[in-house]
Amino acid sequence: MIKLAFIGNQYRSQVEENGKSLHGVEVVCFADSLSGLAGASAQAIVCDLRDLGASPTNALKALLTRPGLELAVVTYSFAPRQALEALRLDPRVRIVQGPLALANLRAQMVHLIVRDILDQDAQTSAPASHAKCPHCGGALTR
Amino acid sequence: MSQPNETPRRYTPAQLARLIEISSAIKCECPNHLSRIVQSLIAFEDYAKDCANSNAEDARIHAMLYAVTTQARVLLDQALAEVVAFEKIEI
Repeated sequence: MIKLAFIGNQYRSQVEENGKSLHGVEVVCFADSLSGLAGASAQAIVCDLRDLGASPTNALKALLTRPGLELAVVTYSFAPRQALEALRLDPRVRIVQGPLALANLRAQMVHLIVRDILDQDAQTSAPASHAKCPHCGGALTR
Repeated sequence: MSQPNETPRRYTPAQLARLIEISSAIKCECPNHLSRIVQSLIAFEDYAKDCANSNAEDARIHAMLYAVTTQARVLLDQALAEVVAFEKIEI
């Protein structure tokens, strides 16, 4: 499961109504602000441009230094193009116009979900790599 | 055009967020789509209201955009309310 943290309450009602749309994703918190994320361990974060404060670029840079964070989805409704371009500073950042249904939000992190599924699959099938050939007794490799 | 007074919003942000995800009994997705449109109109009302004005003409245009967007939002608010009542959605 991908660990996801939300900043702000924008998506809380949606998760309460239709959390199953986020399958493969574990919501670890709804923080009131960036500072409210302190103890949360998340691979992905969803926030609104307004949550990044007066200096969104600096706030986002600071956010991306969090250990384990692989993706920041920044949503906005209407914003000047220059402000959005300045935020596209890192491949881990996705800028998406909202409002988003949860299914569309999940699509933004599907690469992490697929990797997680493949990792799990590799772990569960790992013993097979130590299997022996029934004919010669040699180790079978994947 | 002078800055119009704020027109009350029928739905809270939390209610509109719920309506984006809600599944109606007859599998109609109009409540989902309408709530997204209303949210977008609200966001544009706020954007137009706060947009920077470099002169009086700018201010007039932004006031016009705000007023027209508010009219559209009020109409869509009403339409959403009718759909919610028709579909017997409790929010």
